[in-house]
Amino acid sequence: MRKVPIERLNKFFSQDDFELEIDFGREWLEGDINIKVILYRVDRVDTTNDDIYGEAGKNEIRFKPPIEIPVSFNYATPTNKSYNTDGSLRLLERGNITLGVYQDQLDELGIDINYGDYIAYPETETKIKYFTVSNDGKLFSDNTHTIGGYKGFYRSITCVPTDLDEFNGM
Amino acid sequence: MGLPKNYRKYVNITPHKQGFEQRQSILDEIADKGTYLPKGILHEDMDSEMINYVNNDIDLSLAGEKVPVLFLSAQRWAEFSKTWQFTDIDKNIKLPFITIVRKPDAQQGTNYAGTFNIPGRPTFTYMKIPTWDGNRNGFDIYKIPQPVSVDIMYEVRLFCNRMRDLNFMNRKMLTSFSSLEKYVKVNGHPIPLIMDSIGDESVISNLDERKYYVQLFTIKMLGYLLDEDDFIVTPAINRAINFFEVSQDLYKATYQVKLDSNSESLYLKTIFNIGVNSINILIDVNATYINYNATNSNSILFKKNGSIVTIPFSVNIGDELYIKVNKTDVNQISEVIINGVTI
Repeated sequence: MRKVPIERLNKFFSQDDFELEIDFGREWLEGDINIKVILYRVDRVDTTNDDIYGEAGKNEIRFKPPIEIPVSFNYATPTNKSYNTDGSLRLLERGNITLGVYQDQLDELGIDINYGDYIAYPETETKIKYFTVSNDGKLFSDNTHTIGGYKGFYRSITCVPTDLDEFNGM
Repeated sequence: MGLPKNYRKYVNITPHKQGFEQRQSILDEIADKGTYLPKGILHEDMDSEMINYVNNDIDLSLAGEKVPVLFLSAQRWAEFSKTWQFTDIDKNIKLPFITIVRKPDAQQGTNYAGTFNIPGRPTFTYMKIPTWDGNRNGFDIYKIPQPVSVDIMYEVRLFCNRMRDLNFMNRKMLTSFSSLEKYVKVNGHPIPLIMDSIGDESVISNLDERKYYVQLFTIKMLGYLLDEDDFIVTPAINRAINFFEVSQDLYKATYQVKLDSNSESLYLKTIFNIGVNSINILIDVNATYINYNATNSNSILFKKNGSIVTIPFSVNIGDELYIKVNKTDVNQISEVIINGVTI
């Protein structure tokens, strides 16, 4: 693989500084905050799906071993809405979750988060909610996700609630 | 080898009613397990049958599980009472499911093709039922008004998250309405359903939102209302009894007293009609009767105050004169004229 040296900001910022900043951040995220979610990566080979629509039936989604990943966690407010247009069949729908994940963390674990993977968030000891990744944040070289424009270091991942009919974890 | 022409591969050995028998069978079903009157139909009966149609006729099962059918109204607690058994840990209903919403504005019916109808809500004889009260046979007349037609719109929605589930439901619905209309039996009354439209309300356009399919089937029920409170049961005239009373007093003879003031003569004219042969006359003129003329008479008997008298005789005011004629022909009238002078 061809490599290109990154020399921007080199008068006052280097790769060592970059890694140090990440270490500080991870120490805070993993050591202090310690919020973890469980990533269910869909096994796109073993999952049974139909030939036409590519949809999996109930309990037909196969996934690789679940992995806990520390994240910065943002949980949106639930929305009170209805299924029917006339206001009947009320639904208190959960808000989306937005995760901040260090790419360094994912690289260490040797995993990636893809569009359509599932995320489990244990709200209580007995209540686990499942979300599906609607934005895997694979593009993270923008100003927000870099340190001073040096290099991107974390991904913002958006997940939306999923139905138990679609995915029910283990 | 091909089958011979006109060879019947299937022989229907189940008797199938046709024509008048079939129509009578429908009528019998309307009154089945009830009184002789047809069973009434109100809005709730049609709603109930609509639920029954979706739940049992369409009978959608996905992944081996029956899809719940929910009829929804405005009250929140009622909604919860119907959905709680299908909810997840958050008390939200789980996909897939079917909802039925009846549009509140039931419209004037079109199953009379929108034409004018009989005004005044008269009742019509539906059936005559023989009765027996222990002594006499009779009939009760059962009368009902013409049903009031009503069009009710139902919105049936399937909520699911797989295209193949949508296909399955869509196929079932189109098959059910393949002959344009589908008849359901509301309290035994055959009532047609018509598929008005099929729509799509799927929530799939927003990427950062939960996605699911919603297929909307708008179904029109061409129903009618038949309120049992409007039924009328009246006893028919079961026997006419005529009484005949025979009495001689029913017919009386007529009489007339003619007074000639100049000559002081008078006569008493009495007509005995058929069936009458005597008369009692209260005298109001003092007179002496000296002769008489009679037609259709063999003999005449005179009594004054109960005593037999003969011509000539005198009477005073207040006397009672009894005249009895012995008719020659009883089928003819008899006329008796007694002549006299005033006293």
